[in-house]
Formats: sequence, structure tokens, C-alpha cells
Amino acid sequence: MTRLSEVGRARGPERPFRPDFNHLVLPPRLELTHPLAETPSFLRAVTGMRSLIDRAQIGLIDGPPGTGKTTFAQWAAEQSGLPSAIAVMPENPAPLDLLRISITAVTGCNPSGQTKTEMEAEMIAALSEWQGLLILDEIQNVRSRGLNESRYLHDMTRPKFPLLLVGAGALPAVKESAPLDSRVRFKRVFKTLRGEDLFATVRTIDPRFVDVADNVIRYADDRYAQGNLRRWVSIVETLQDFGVERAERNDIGDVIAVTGAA
Amino acid sequence: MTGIHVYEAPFGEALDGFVRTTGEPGEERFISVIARPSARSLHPLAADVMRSFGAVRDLYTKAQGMSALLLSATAWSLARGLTDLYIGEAQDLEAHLDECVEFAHGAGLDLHLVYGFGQVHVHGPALIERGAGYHDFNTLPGALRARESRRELQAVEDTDAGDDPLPAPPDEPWMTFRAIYTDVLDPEQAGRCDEVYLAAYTLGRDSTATDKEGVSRLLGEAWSACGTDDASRLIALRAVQAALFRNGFNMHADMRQTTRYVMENYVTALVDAHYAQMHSFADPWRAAATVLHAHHMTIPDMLSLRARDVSTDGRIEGFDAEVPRSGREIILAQRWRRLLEGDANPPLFRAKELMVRAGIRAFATELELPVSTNWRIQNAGRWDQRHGLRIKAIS
Repeated sequence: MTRLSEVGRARGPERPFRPDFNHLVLPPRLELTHPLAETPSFLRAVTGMRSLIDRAQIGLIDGPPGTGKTTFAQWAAEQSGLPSAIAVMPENPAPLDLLRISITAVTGCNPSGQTKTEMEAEMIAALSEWQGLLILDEIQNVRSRGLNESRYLHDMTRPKFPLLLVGAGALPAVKESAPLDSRVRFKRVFKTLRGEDLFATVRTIDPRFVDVADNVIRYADDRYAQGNLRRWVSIVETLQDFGVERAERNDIGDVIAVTGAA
Repeated sequence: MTGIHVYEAPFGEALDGFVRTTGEPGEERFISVIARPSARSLHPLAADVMRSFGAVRDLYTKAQGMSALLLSATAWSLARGLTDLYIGEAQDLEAHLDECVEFAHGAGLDLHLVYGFGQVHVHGPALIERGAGYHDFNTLPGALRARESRRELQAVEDTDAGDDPLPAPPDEPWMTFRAIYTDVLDPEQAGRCDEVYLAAYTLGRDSTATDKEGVSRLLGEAWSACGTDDASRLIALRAVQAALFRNGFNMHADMRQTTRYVMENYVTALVDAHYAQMHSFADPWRAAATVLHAHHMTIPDMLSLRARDVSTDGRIEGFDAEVPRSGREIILAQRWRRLLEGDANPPLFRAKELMVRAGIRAFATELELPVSTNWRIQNAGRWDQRHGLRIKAIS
């Protein structure tokens, strides 16, 4: 007896592969191993956040990588007083990935709908019931059509929900979608640390730097961190690994050598 | 040819007024939807138009695809006498502008395209070619420019639901009925019973009914006017007995059989809320069949109807039942649906009798409608028992 598979006919309808998107959902709370660094950019973003939440508006945060945008998003999710979800957009997302990942972030489950229309309806229903803060991170990876989708969801959901778009290059990305750009009420750009802001922030994030001279901090910043908060955290963690109690210039040099910076 | 009107929304305008908060049909004469971004066909727009009518059910129609949905949307638009279709974020129609214009034209709707700020250029040449008129955003209806989404009218509640139920008077023969309930009930309750009694009595005295069918029709009229709860039915029945006695006829009634016969043949228990629920199906045929059945048209009579037997206000010549406007809209939607399928004057219902019965039964069950779906073969040998009435002229 010939098996159907041998003559090339399918044995039945094949179920489409459904990837799990939970790995693209960040926890809506801070996960820091060091004290929260309230940089000037962070504090400026805080001032707009309450209005965004109270009025259920759309906000945007841009800035170079490592300046604390995602940390701010997690802080905002934790402090908002609302259920919150953070969906991270992958590089080169598929056309419906924004919908799929957002549904997973809000509901905790993969989307049940198969078509765009079904997923839109599912998302709008979920957002209406959930009534929380939705944060879309790495939004620069999403093309104009995907961004327009987020605008549509915000327009159609009742009651409206606060939506925060975060990403390095988020501003130019959103500008490509004029209807969405015109809806964004809150825009903040996180900047790299400079001057007194740099010294104050570094001393906040680790006690090893409290009594360290400015020129040592400047040396580490010039040679490696370059105002990037994430790199400063990396320096702190390496000092911790070395068991260094008080950072000196030599210690900084060793750390930079270990981390492979030029 | 219906017109095309173009608007540009102000910077940052979210078109809140285009969004309906519930699926219930509203009282406006226009439809408003927001175009979905990146739609591959006009199917989502057609579905959104249907949802704006409150049609959120009937997966069969959705499964049949865009053309069936567009037909249904056109039929309902014509039935409800709608005049305008407003589409927000019209730039998202992309390549489907022509289909959208065709749909609006087919449904006799003026098409209003509201573009996002700076987005009119998306369809600029096509709009110029079609002679679209450009208008200021502030000329849109106020409801559409509102900063909050429109609140829909809640479905009309069954008026019986919230009222105090009529007190149940003692079931006494008609001769002593009123005297006893006046004695037994408190004045306020007795007063309420008197309202029903006197209304039914007046109907009975004015009536010329002399046979069982005539009296059944009279009881149907009295119960429709006074209420169909148990207490109202009993009071009205006793009042009619008293009235008929004054008219020269002695009437006896078996309450159970009479109730069943009269309710099935002369009383419609549907209220506005039920009709509103019936609008929730995209394909109107089951709803239309159920409306006619609820108003006591037999299924063979339904199947003999042609689409053009339904007039443009939803009435049917030769069918005297008083169908309210919301019910007539449903019948009219079915009329248009059949005419739009191409024939000059097709049968109003395409299905056969068994399918119509099954359709009505499934429909009534799903929506929990107070409609009898127990079709029985009339047995001539049991004619005398069917009405539950005995009527004798007083010599």
C-alpha cells in the first residue's frame, strides 16, 4: 500500500508554526544590581510621564544605546500604578510581529487569531480590558507600517491606554509615519553623560567612586565609557569582580584592559 | 452619482468621534469607520461597516468573504436609509480607494474621506480625477469632531423588566372577579389591576367578535395592549368575558389552551431590545424570517413572497401585522440583499421550508427570543379544543 506521503500528498492540513514571543517581553519592573541612576535625562522624562499616563497619550523616548532608556521604561512600568507591559521589537520584524509581540506582552499568551484583522480585534479587546501602560521598546526596528499599526490600536481602543515608544532612533522612525508622529505628545531624548552630570551620576551608582577625583572619572570616561551609562555599569561590575574597594587610576586602567577597550 | 468629499484632519487629531464604544446601532443616518492600516483588501472595511451597524455575529457571512459582506453592508445601508459614509485615516485605504467608492455608490452613500494631517497627497490624483470636493474639517458633523468617542444609545430595555410586576389577583369566575380583587388587594394594587381591566373591557365592548377566532383575535389585541405577564392576561381575559356577556355572548375559556393559541397566533412578544439584537447578524435572512414568524406569517406564505412585495418602508401588501420600524428595517434589509444579488424580483427567501424553520429556531435560540418555534400540524379533528374557548349566544 502506497503511503500518501510517498506520492507527495499531505496527510492533512498542517498547522502553521507558532513561535513563542515571551522572550521578547521584558518584566515591567527594575532589575538593577546597582542603585538607580537618576540622570538629568531620566528626571526630564519623569516630568512628562505622569501626564502621559493620566491622559492616556502617546510618548516617545529616543537616545543613543546605553543612556538608560529601557531602564526608564522599566521604572515607569513599575511606578505607573497600572498594569504594564514591555514588548521588545526584534531586528527585522515580520509584518505582524508588532501585533503578535504586543498581544503576548499584554495577555501573557501567544495570539489566538491568525489574520491581521483577528489579531487587531484580539489586541483591542485585551487592551480595553487590561487598561494598562504599554511600552514598545526598540521601536526603531519597526517599519512605518508597523508603527502605523500602533497608532491604529491606540485610536481604536476604549478606554484609551498610555503608550510609550522607546528606541535609539525612535524619533526619525516615527517621523516616517506622519499620523503617528502628529499624535506623540511627549518626546524626550536621553543624552550621554557629560561634565558635572557625569561625575554626579557615576558617584551615585557606586560608592567606590564617592571620593574619587574628577580627573580619574574623566580618564575612565575618555578611555572607555564615553558618557554611556551601560559602560559605566560594566566598569563598576568589573571592579566588583576584582574586589577593588576604592577605584584608582591604575584600577581603571586594568578594567579597561580587561574589557577590551582601546 | 453619489459625491466624494475630502477633508484633512488637523495636526494630532485622533478622530475620537469616529470610534463607537459599543456595537449597538445608533440613531444617526451615517456610518463612520476608521480605515485599517496595511489592509490587503476592502474586507476589513466592510466588516467594520457591518460592526458599525451592530452586526458582530454570523460567521458564515464572514467566511463567505468580502463580496458577501459588502452585499450585506449595502443592504443594511439601504434598509436603514443611511446617507453618508465617513472614513477616517483615509490614506490607509491605499490601493482600495476605487473599491470603496464603488461600495459607497452602490449603497447610495455620499463618501466622506477624512485624511490625516498632510496625507491627502496619498490619493491626490485619483481624487482630482473623480471630481472630489475639498471641505474644511470643521464642516464635519459635530459628533465626528468630538474629542471623546460617541456613546451609543443603549439598547432599549424591555419595559416590563424594571417595573413592579402587577399583583396576581385571585383566579375567580368573571362575575365576581373584579369585586373580589378589589376587596382582597390594597387600593393601590387594585387600582393598577383596574387599569388593565377597564382597558380590556372597553376593547371587548367595542368588539364585534362572535366566534372563537374573532374572540382569540380580540384577546390577542387586549394582551398586546395590557401586557402578557400572567396577571395581566388573567385580568384582561376576565374583563373580555364580562364585556362579551354585555354584548350577548357567554364565553368560557381554558386558560392554558387559550393562552397558548392566542400567544402563538395573535401576540408578538418582541420588544425594541429584541429587534436591536437581531441587527447583530450581518446576513439578514434569518432575522427577517424570524420577524415575520413572530408576527404570525406562516412559512409557506413567507416563501411565496417576492422581494418587491416588500415596499420601500418595509411593509408587505396584504400583511396587516403592525411591525415596528426596527423590525421593518430587517425585512427591508433582506429585500435589498436579494435584489442586490442580481435578479429583478427574486423570492424574498431563497431557502426551503425546513431550512427556514431551522434558521428561525437557531436564531431564536441563540438570541433567546420569546418566539415559539414549535410548529405543529393542525389536526382538524381537534379543532374545538385548540382555541380553549366555548362561546354561546345568550338567548
